[in-house]
Order: sequence, then C-alpha cells, then structure tokens
Amino acid sequence: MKPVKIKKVQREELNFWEKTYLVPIFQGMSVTAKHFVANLTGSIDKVNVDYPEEQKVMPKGYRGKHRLTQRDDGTVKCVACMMCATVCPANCIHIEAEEHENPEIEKRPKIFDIDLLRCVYCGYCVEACPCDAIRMDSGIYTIFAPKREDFVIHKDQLLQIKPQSEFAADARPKQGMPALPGHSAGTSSPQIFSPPARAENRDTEPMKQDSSLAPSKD
Amino acid sequence: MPLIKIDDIEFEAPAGQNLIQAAASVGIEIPHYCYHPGLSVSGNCRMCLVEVKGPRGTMAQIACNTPVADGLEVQTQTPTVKKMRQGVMEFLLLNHPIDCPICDQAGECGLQDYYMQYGLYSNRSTVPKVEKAKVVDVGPLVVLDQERCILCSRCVRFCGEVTKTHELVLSQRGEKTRIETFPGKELNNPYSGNVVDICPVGALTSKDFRFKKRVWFLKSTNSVCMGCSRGCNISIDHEKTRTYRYRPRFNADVNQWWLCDEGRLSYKQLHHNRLDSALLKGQPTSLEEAVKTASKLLQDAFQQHGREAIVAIGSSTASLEDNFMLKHLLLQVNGPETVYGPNYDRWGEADNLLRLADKTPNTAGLKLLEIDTSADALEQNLNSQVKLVISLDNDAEALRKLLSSTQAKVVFLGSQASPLALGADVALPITMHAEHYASYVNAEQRLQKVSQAYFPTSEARPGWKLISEVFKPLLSAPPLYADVEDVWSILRSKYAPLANLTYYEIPDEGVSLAPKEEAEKEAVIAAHES
Ligand code: SF4
Ligand code: SF4
Ligand code: SF4
Ligand code: SF4
Ligand code: FES
Repeated sequence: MKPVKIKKVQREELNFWEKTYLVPIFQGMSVTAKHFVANLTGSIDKVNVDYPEEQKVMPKGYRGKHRLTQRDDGTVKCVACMMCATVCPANCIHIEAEEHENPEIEKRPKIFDIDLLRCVYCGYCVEACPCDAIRMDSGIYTIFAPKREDFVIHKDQLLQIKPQSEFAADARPKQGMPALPGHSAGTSSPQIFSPPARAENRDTEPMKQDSSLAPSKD
Repeated sequence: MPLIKIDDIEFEAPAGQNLIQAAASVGIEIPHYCYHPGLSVSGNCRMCLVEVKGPRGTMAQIACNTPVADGLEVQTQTPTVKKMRQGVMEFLLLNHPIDCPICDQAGECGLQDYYMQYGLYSNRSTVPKVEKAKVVDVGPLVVLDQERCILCSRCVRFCGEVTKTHELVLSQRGEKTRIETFPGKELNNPYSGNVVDICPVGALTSKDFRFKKRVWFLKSTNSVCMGCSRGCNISIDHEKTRTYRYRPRFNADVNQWWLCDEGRLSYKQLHHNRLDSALLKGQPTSLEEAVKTASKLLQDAFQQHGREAIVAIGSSTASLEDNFMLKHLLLQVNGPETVYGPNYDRWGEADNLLRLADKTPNTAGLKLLEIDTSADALEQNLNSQVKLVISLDNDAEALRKLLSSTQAKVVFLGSQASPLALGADVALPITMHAEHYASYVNAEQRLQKVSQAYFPTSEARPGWKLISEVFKPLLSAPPLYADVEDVWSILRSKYAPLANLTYYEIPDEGVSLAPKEEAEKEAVIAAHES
C-alpha cells in the first residue's frame, strides 16, 4: 500500500470582534428592523397583505384554479374533445361526453371533473384545448376543502369561476383559423365552435334527440 | 407471374393484383381512399396517383386501377407524386369542416393520417365552405355527416355489392354532391355497421360508439365473435377492463372484412348481467367456499349413489377447453361417459353472407369432443335416479324447467346471472372470451383462438380451472393445470384432429380441422378406380 500523503491546510484565524459574533447579528437585525419600521410607518410599499381579507393579485400567466369558459349564451364552450384529458400528465381530468341538441355543436361534456389534488398545475390542458374552453386565469391560488372528495371539482363549479378581474378583457389571445390575407389575424373563432345560423342550407332533417344515443350510464 | 419494378425493387407479383396490392407486398404503402380490397375499383379519389413508365414516357396513373403487367416500372416517391398527393389532399379538404375535436373518427381518420405526410399546412381558399347536413340519422346503427364525406363511394359500393340492399346513393352534382339514403329508405340491413369501418373519414360513424371514447385510449386484442357459429374474426377494442366495440378483423376464409350488426353489438354481453361472485343457493359467498361445497356435492353423489346419479351438461357457448375439462375429469373419476350439450334457445336468423342460425360459437367443438348435443338424449337421462347435475354455462330456460322437475342438486358454472345460476345449489363464475385464452371451433371446422384482453374484474376464473378445482378432491393424483397450454397437452393427445397442435401455435387466422379436400377427392378417385 502506498503511504498516504497528508497536506496541512492553515485555517484563517478569527479576530476578536468576529469571535463575539455580535457584528453580523446586528447587521442582520438592522435589515429586519428597517423593514419593520418601514412597514409600521408606511414609508415603503407593503410586501405583505392582510390575507385572507385581502387577496394578492397574481401576475399575468399565473396558473391558478381552472375554469371552463362559456359561450355567449352562457353554456359550456367545451366540446368534450378530450385533448386536455389526453395531455394531462397527472391524469386528473375526467370527461364524459353527450349529444348537444344543436347539431352545429354536436358534442358537449356531460361530466367534466378535475381532481385538484392530483393536478400539478402544469397548464398543459390550457395549451391543448382547441376551443379555448379551459383556462387557468382565475388567479385563485388557495385551493382548500374540508373533504377529499370536495377537491374534485365538477362542470357546474368550473363554469362559475370567473377570471381574475385584471385579465377579464382577455388573458390569452383567442384561437381561430389561420389568418387569411386581408383578414384580421386570429380574432375569429373557428366556424364550427360558434357557427352562424345556416339552417337554410339543410335539405336533410337533422337527427332527432334520441335517448338511445345518449352514452349509457355505466 | 409478371415481373414489375416499383421504386427500384424488382419483383414478381401475382397476375390480377393491382399496384396498391403489389406495392404493399414489398412494404411500400400507396395512400388511397376509395380503393377497398373487398369492393370493386372505383378510382375516384385520385389519392393513389403514381408515376408509371409507358411507351409515351412517364405518366401519372391511379395505382388502384392499374393491374400489374410484365415490365411495368412504377415510381411512388418522386417529388411529382408527392405534389400530386398534396394537391389531392387540398381538394379533399377544400370544403371539409375539420370537426376533429367532435369527430369520432379522429385518431383513425384517413384524412388526418395522410395530412401528416402530404398536407399543405396552409389555406389558400378564400371562399366560404360548402355546407351540408350534419348529424343525419341514416339507420339504427349509423350517423351520417355529409360535410365530412370525401365522396369516395365505398359505402355506396358496399351496399350495392356486398349486401345488395342499395340504400345509399351519391346525389346531386359537383360541390353539392352528397351521400344520402334513397327516399323512404333507411340504412338498416343486417350488415350496416360495416360502412362505419370502411368509411375512411368520419362521415359515417357508429351510433352505438358515439362519443363513448376517443379511439386513442383503446387497445385492441385479437378475438373471435361469439354471436354465431360462423366465428367471425374480430378485434376487441377495450380500455382497461371495459370493452367499447368490436371491429372485424380480416380473415380470408371466414368473414373477409365484414361483421354482422348482431355480432358487432354482442360486446354488450361482456358487461351485462354477469355472474360476478360465487353463489350458494343465490346467496353470494367466497369462491373457495363455493368450490368446496361443489366438491362435496360431487363426492356425496358418487359415494352414495354411484356414477349413474351424475349428469354433466356442457355448452356450445363455452370454450373447447372448458368442455373438454368437464368431460376429461369425469372420465378420470370414473364418472358417466356421456356429457350432454344441447343448444336450446340460441337459434336465430341466417343468411348467405355470414350469419348462421346456430347462435353459439362452439357447436362443432362439442361434436369434436364427442359431446351429445341432442336435447332428447338429455331429457331421457334426466330421470329420478339423478342426484347431481353439473351444468357448464348452459342456462337455457328450458333446461331450468327440466331441472326443477327433478330432485337433483345443481352445480352451475357460468358467466351470466341467469335464473338457473340464481337457483342453483352452487354457482361458480367463469370468464368470457375477452377475459381468457381459449379456443372455439366454428361451423366450418375451423379452430380459432381468442386472447385475453384484460383480467376479469370479478371473482370469475376460466371454466377449466374451476372444474379442475371442483374435481381435485376426487382425484388420486390431482393434475396441475397452470395455463391453457397444460390443458392442451392432454387435449391434443385425446383427439386426432388436434394432434400436432399446441395452443400457442394456433395461427391468428385459425386452422381448419376439416379433412383436407384434396385428400377427400383423391379418396373418391381412388375408390372409383379400384
Ligand atoms: S394543469 Fe396540468 S395536471 Fe392540472 S389538469 Fe391541467 S394538464 Fe392536468
Ligand atoms: S381540450 Fe378543451 S374542448 Fe377539449 S375536452 Fe378539454 S376543455 Fe373541452
Ligand atoms: S373526418 Fe377526419 S379530418 Fe374530418 S373532422 Fe373527422 S377526424 Fe377530422
Ligand atoms: S360516407 Fe364515407 S364511405 Fe361513403 S362516400 Fe363518404 S367518405 Fe366514402
Ligand atoms: S384509391 Fe385509387 S383513385 Fe381512389
């Protein structure tokens, strides 16, 4: 076996004041004290808010609790295409589809559940949605419930959630068809999702609502 | 055979093939919409355009309508060909609604698939799309969306050539052309579901499957339809432990590309009224307890009354393995030699396309196992001497009536919670075709196997396994059957047509157990000559 070589390292000696540790303590305390005084006298912008009476305004792009957007008539915009459920890495979106009475829309979710305990707030569902039907712009960052089951939120709850007032105008450009030359870019929704009245073009009766068509309960 | 050259691969293709088939045989895919191997060539979609060298130079030709000929030189990957495909796609999509988010075809759509390779990825059209009718109810199984249709006419040809019922028609002209049913007609022939499979886009979709699942969540398992004794080859499409649909699987000797509507909907049996726990006189109990009780009943009947006191009934709805195990173990314990297997109530309509009157999948299997399928024989032998009846999945109402008139105890092994199961002294839950590996023999003597798609959600076990459990205490040296291959190791030694076969070697398309036709002919000729 080779002899192990030992190299001695000289440690730096602390001087007298350093050995008392008093100077760094007071240096640190002075920062705290400065903020304390400033907060008391209100001489700087407050850093903390009186939660929960006061809520923090979240920056644009913050991924809060999900919400489902609505059509002009207040019904759900989602067409149950399951893109969000497919892309969701936490597998926490559960959708069951049903027939929409309007054949122009055709499909809508009967059940739309998100398990907020499983959600990792990645925002993929928002990215994947072709209809701008799901958003995370509510600004809600406190997710609480008394029971486990209550963390699974349902379609009607998701529809009630409003966008954070600051983004109400539009948190995210509306998706639409690719811009045509001479048309304004990306402002019109795709035709199928907000269809113009065009019943006059039909010469075949649309299918009647039929209970046998509804997805079975089990 | 003509020698042809496709993309520098020179090979001999059987005469009569077209270029799509010939190219596919060397692994070159020529995209196509209107061509379907089971239908006549229509040549209207133009997606299959390829470049063919001819006397007047290289010309574009549709591959589906070009038969192979000696010396043919074909190019399928040139920039011109790709440009033509792109152009065809652009035309097909000109008025297409692009409903993909709400379209049930999404994920298995011809337009989506080819667009990935040949799409233009921009829109040059500046006029509004032509609008047609959506969500049209054309028949009990099919929903039509005229806007999504690419007018390939596959569905029209299917109704004209295969079912010969002529319900569908391409009406009007030019951009107004659309698929419609003839006035006063409904797409309600017994094979109507097939148009959903052959429609390359989402124009014809299934009413039954409508909005139930996005297809990319589904997995497919090879299986055989249990709807009738034709034994059509199917794929079971399932997610986890739930089956959502059957689709036909090509088998040249059985069902070609098709499936009847009755069979298509028979997937519902897998989830309807299943016997999902063991029952003792209708009361749920543990499987061990029930098996123990069944064994005891069997032992008592043997010891107190002898073999005449036992009657075993198989069923043509159960697999070859299940029926075999019942018969085999009865012989092992010196039980009755005859097993009965009458089919009481599963008879229905037949036609000359696929459907057969015998609505059970395994009648020929019972014949192979020498199980007596006559109802009279069973009736005669169900006398007052009989103390125990073992019924394997045979739960016909007629049988229940017959049994209730005797004093015999009943051990039932089955998959359905039928009145017979609920009334039996012991009922044991067995698996169905999606839940086990097994084989069935169809009416044409073809041995076909089904694969397990998922594990049973309930306590159900394969029938042969439960039967061997029940017989275990009676056997001096209980054999161990771990899997279906173990069952086969005995099965093939007992029946000549099955010799040389193992379960895993049964090909996906099945094997014919019928004596070879050539051999038959030769025998006839030899008989004449001598
Ligand atoms: S934010 Fe991410 S994890 Fe949460 S529901 Fe959406 S996709 Fe799923
Ligand atoms: S991706 Fe959008 S439209 Fe599709 S199911 Fe999810 S929320 Fe609904
Ligand atoms: S037919 Fe295909 S491309 Fe057309 S809407 Fe359906 S999935 Fe999309
Ligand atoms: S409905 Fe489908 S199969 Fe029939 S012509 Fe249209 S695209 Fe072809
Ligand atoms: S497949 Fe050849 S023209 Fe349609």
